[in-house]
Amino acid sequence: MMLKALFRKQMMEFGVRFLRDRRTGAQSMAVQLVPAGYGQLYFAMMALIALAFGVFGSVFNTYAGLYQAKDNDLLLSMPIPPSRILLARLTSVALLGLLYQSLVWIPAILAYHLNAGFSPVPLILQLTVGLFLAMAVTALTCLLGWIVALISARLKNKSFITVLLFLIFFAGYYVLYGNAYRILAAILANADAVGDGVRSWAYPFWQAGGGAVGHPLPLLIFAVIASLCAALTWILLERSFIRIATTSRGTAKKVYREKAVRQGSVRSALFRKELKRFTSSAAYMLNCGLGTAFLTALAVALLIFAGQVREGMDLLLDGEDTVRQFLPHIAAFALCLTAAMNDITAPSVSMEGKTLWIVRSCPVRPWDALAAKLQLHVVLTLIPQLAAGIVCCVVLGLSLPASLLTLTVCAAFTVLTASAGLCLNLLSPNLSWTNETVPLKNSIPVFVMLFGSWGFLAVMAAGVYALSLLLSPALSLAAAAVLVALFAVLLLIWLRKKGTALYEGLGG
Amino acid sequence: MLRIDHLVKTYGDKRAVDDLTLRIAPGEICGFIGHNGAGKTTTLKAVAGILSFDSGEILVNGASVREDPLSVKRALAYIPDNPDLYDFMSGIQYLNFVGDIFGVPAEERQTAIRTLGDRFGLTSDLAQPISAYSHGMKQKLAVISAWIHKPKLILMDEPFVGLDPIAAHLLKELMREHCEGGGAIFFSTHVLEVAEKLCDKVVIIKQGKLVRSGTMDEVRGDASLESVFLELEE
Repeated sequence: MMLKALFRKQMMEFGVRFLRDRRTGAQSMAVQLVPAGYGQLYFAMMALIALAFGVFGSVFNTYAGLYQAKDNDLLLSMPIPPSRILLARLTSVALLGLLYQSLVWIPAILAYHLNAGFSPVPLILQLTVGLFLAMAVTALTCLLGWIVALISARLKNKSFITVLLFLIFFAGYYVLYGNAYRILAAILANADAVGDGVRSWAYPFWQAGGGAVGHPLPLLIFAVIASLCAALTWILLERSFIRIATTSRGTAKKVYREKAVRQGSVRSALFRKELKRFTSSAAYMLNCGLGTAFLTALAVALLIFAGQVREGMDLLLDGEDTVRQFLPHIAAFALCLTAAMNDITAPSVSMEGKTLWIVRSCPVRPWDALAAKLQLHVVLTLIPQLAAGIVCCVVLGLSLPASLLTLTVCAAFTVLTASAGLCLNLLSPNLSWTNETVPLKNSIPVFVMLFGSWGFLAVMAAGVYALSLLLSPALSLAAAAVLVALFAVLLLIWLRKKGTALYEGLGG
Repeated sequence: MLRIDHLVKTYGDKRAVDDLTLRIAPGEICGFIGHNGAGKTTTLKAVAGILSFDSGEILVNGASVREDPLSVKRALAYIPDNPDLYDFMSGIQYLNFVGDIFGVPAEERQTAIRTLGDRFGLTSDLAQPISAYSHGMKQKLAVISAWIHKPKLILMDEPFVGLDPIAAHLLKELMREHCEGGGAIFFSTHVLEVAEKLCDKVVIIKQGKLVRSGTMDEVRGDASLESVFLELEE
């Protein structure tokens, strides 16, 4: 459930980079280790990395697919042996784990053959090791998925904690990637000691490394260990599947205590409803609201590292006055690019699903319902964007007019993306979904908004640069602000006229 | 209270509602009866302003659904056959949402929630997320949300499905009280015994067309409602 488009994209990107990166990729490790006779250590470490990727890549899917599947009751009521249901579920878990594990394992094999020379027998053995590795990945994934299910059942703010865990994992990934060169250098400098460590602390993977370089006995040992893990997992799951699938691990019942309430307006009720829907779904927040977290992080990072950023800029732009004139443009572009990660409005109409009748049967003007969706996007994006923008302008030492222009471009862009997402969803709504990941991940509006807004920014950047050759840089940015604001206003007018009519026509 | 004149609603080539005309006066409980797919839900949704219609006119408390949908919606409450509510809210959050939308003053709202919640035995569950509710609990919550803003006309689509016998009895009591207070109720049902005992008026629809309507005595005569309905369906 938690593996969202961005994460998947990031993992795919990792696979390509893992092979090619000269400093931190498989190729650089293979160059150093394979010719020096450390092939077993190389593959042992690759197997460990592949295991980590396979497990992290598929653990949340396992949690959702194996332990939280909504059709378990239905399938169990049919004349299907529970073991078959479990087998079908585990197959999808294993395939997903294999996919993510392959992002590391395949580049590792390629890098090995580039440095050791191609030979078919080791290749067959390496692919065989990969298959047994997938068994280990599946076993570990099922175990971790079970732990995630147990923890999740006892959490109150599941969606926020899921988002937080995802962000921590994401940050950890970049920290590790940033320090990969240093870690790699340390491994290369102490290859023998690292080898001893792997042999004693990760014995199965040391054997996997041995199998991958062509020794049959280590391969056999690894195959037996991995198969045992998989068999043990199967036996445990088969025995407990019905209990797992049918037990409701609800949180403790919260008893209602009457509290004083305040009467709110229609607008505020609709806004709170949209906010509640957004914050109650980790999938919605991760797929459509990561920009808010990144903009906030950007503002905080700029505040903390203001001195270093200023020094770096001074060093970089020493004597480069022409480039300095484009600082507001660069700041606006970066802030808009980050804000474009938010596409909260793009699935917002579809997210109403079967509950659309509620607002439609209430005395609510269609425009008010749509405005609440726009408002949520704008509030959650513009506040951190302006905060990051103000900090950015101060740190970069931009003049007041340049700062105001930068912030205007940002604000106009956010209103534009909010409106565009809503327009797209009204033109292409999906109200008949049974799983919220459908409107959030597999929908045209979300896809178009994610890539379309980046495309729009690229075109706008090129246009602004071209315009700056004719006008001054400040005037070109002002023109961009006017143009973006104009687009935003046009879309808002369309929403008020055609959009409300489309909304009224939904559901019949 | 409700006036439907020559209502027509088509889905593609199919006429779901075909020239339907009916009246419901204040104080009346009107049962809407017909086989599956006869056009009951379509009619109720059109009156609630959820579905647009091709021709005809619907007036609620004198206001046109087409011309003045907000006034119409302020005067009515709608409970669908399958109460898909906001799973991401708790029961009390949902009731407060409805209260805010209909402008129910805070004190009045709290009293209504307390009274209705207690009657349906749902008060202690109001802090629970709706996602944890059973079908019957959702149905009870939908009923409470319909009643808290004191609508003049209440539209209900199969309201007794999923309710336990006590809740069903309570709902019948509430319906009666509502009509005694000058309100009106228009509800669809397949349970003819309930309709027979509860309704002042009955409307039978077949393939979108009205086939019989009137007071209960007028429609059934000396026979039972079931035999009249079965006869009309043949």
